[in-house]
Amino acid sequence: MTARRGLKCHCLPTSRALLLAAALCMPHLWVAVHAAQPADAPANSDDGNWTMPGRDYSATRFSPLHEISTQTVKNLQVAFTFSVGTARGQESAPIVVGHTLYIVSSFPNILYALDLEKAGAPVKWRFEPKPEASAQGEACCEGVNRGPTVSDGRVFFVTTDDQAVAVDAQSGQKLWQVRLGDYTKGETLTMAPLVVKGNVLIGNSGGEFGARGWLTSLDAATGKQRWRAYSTGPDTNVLIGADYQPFYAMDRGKDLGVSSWPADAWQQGGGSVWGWLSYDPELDLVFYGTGNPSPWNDSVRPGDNKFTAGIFARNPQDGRARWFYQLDPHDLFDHDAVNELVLMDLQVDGQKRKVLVRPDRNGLMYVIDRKTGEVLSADAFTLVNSNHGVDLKTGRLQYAEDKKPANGKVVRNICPAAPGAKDWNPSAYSKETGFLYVPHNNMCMDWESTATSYIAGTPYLGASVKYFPASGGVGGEFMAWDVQHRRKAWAVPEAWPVFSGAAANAGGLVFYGTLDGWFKALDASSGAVLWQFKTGSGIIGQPTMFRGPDGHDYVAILSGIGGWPGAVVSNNLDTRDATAGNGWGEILKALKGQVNKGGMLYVFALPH
Amino acid sequence: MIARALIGILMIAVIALSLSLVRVERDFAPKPGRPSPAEASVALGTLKPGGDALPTATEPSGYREDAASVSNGQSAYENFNCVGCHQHGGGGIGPALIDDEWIYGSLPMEIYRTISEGRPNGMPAFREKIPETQLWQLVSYVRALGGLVPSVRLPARTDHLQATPPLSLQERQVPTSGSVETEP
Repeated sequence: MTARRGLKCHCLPTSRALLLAAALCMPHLWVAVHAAQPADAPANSDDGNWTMPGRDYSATRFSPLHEISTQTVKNLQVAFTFSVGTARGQESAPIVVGHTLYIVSSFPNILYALDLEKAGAPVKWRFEPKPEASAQGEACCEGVNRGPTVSDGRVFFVTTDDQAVAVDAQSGQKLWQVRLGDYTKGETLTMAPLVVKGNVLIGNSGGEFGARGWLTSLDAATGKQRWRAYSTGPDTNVLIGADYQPFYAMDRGKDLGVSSWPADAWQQGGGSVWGWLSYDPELDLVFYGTGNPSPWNDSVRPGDNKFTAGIFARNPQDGRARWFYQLDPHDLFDHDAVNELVLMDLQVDGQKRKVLVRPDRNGLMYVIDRKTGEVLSADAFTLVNSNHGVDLKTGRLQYAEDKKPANGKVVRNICPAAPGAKDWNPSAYSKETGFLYVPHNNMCMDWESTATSYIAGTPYLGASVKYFPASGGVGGEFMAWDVQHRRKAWAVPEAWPVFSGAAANAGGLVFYGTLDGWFKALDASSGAVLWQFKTGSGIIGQPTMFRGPDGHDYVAILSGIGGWPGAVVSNNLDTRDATAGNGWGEILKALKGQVNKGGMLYVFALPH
Repeated sequence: MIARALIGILMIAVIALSLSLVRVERDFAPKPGRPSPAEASVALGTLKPGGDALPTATEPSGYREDAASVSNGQSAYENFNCVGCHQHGGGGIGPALIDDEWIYGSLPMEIYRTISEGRPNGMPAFREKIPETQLWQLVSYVRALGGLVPSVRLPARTDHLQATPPLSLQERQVPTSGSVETEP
C-alpha cells in the first residue's frame, strides 16, 4: 500500500494529484516508500515535469516533450517573464513540478515559487534564507546558485554562506535549515543538491581558497548529516574501505589522500565538490567529480594530490567509495573534474557497456565504464596542447612537458585555458540523435606561477593568468558530439565563451544561451539555428522544458550575466588589467560595452 | 704644472662626485602608528544634516607616498593575497582598484580603514594580520594603482637588491598563525 502511494507521489500528473502527493509523502512514510522503489527517481517519463537540474538521474537534460519542434519553433514567443531581484550571475535551472516553477536567485539566494496556473505566473511564495553578506567575498565566482531540486514534496537548495535548506514545495514553509561549513575559511555552497534514496547530497565550493572538499549526505526528512566523504586526507575521512576497487594502480594504496601531498598540505588541498552528480539505480552508485587541488601553483604541492581532479563512485547510503579515477593527477591548470557525468549504454567493441560520458575541462571527452572506472576512450574535442591524451594502460593523463608551469616564468599559449575546454555548464544528450550537445570554450592562456601563502579566508592561488581565443578569433563553440563514433557531428562557433547549459527535446531541438544574451534553438540533427531571442542580459543559466497546466509546452531560461567570466560585467571589472576576474580582462573587453547585468526569468511557448 | 693641473682636475672630480652623492633623505622604516578612534572617523557620504560633525581624518605623520612605500606595498599586496581578489588592479571577486570608483573612499585614512576593518560585502578585516607599517604601505600602493600618487614618486623598478631569488621561487611557508581546518 505504501509502495503504491510512493509511486503516486511521482506519477500522477494533475494538480489535484500534487496536493494529494504532498499529503501522502509525509515524512513518516519515507522509509516504506523507499524500500519499495527508488521513488525520488523521476523516471524519464512524459509527465511534463523537470524536477532536478539534470532532469533525470542519468543527467541527460532531455525532455520527451515535442510540441515545440523543428517545425513549430519559429513561432516561439515570450509567455511570461519575472525579475529575480538580484543582478549578479544567474545559473539556476528553472525547476517545474506540477503547477509550480522554482528558481533560486544569485546571492542572497532567494527561492521563488511561481504559480503556473495563474496568468503571468505570479509569485506563489518566496523563501529568503538571508545569508551573511560577507560570504560574497569568499565565493570565487559570485554568490551563484545552480538551482533547487524537488523531491517528494520538498524543495532543497543551498546558500553562499553554507546553509542547506528544505522547504515545503506547496506552502513554502521551512522544514529544516542547517549549516554545513565555515565560509570564513573560504568554503561556500553553489551547487544543486541531488536526492537519492532519501539522501540529500551536497558538496562544497572553495578550491580557490584552499577549502578542503567534501560531499555530504543529509537525511531528506530531518537535515541530519548521514555521512561526509572528504576529497583529501586519510582513508577514514575519504570513506575508503574494503569495497574500494579503483581500476588503475595509480589510484590504489593506503591513505593516498595524505601521502600524495607534502606534509599536511591536504588540509588546505581543495578538491571541492561543486559540480554535478549522477546516479545509477541498478548499480546503486552515485558518481561525481572533485575540483582542482589548491593552490593553483603546482610547485608547492609535489605528488598526485589525491583525491582532487577525479571522479568518485560511491554508495549513496553510507558514502563508501567503490572506485576513483584521477583525470588530472597533480593538476597544473585549475582543471576541476566536476563537470556533468551523462550515463548511457554504449556499444564498445561489439559489447554493450554501461558508461558515463564526461566532456572535461582538460579538453578530453571521456567514456568511462561506470561499473569499474575503466577509461574506454578519451578524445580531444577542441584544441588541446597541454596534454597528449590518456595512456589507456595506466589511466594516466600525459602532460605536455613544454606547457608545464614554472615559477618565475610565463608559459604561453597553453590550451585549453584554466576555465577549461568546457566549464560547469552542462551538456544535454539525446538518445534520438545519439549526440551529446556541448556548450564550451575555445580558449588558450598565458600562465605565470607566483608566490602565495595560505591565509584562511583569502584566495590561495599563486598564479597570474590571461585567456584569449584559441583560434578563429572566437572564444566559444556549441557542438554536437557523436558519442558512438567519437567525433564532432557539427559545431556552431560563438563569439564568446559559452557558459550556458544545454537542453534537448523530442521535438528535435536543442537550446542554449550566450554571454551576450541570445537564447537559441538549434536543429539537433544539423545544428541549424531555427530560432533565437535576445534577452536583457547575458545568459549563464540552464534551460529547462515543461508542460504547463494548460497542456502546452514551455521553455525556460534565466538571463543575468555574472559568474566567473561575467563578473567582468556584473562586478564592473577594469579590463585594462588582462588578469581581471582571474584571467578574463582581455578576452571579454568588448563584451563589457555590450551587455548589462540584471536577473530575469524568460519563459517561452508557442501561441495558443 | 702638469701635477697642479692634475690636482685641479682631481679636485673638480671629487667635488662633482660628492655632489652626485647628495641624495634625498628618507626614513627606511617610517612607522605610522594606528590611528586613534577620533582620527579614524571617516564619513562615507557627503550628506551631513548635523553639519560637519565628523572631523576630517588625516593620515598619521609617518605615512609616505614614495617609491619605497609603494614598492613595499606591492610586495604586501601579493603576499597577503590581495591579488587573488583584486588581481593586478582590474578586480575580480573584489572591485577594481585601477578605475576611478572608490566605494569606501580614496583618502589614505579611508583606504586604511577599508583594509583594517573590512567592508560588509566580503572585504576581510586584515587588522591584526597585516603589521601596521605594511598596512600603510599597502594604502600607498592601492592609491598608486588608482593613479592618485604622482608618477615622479613611483618606483621604476623593484626597490631592493636581487639578494634572494624571486619571491615565486621561495620555498613554501605554512603560516603558523591563522586557522587551518581541523578534523571534526
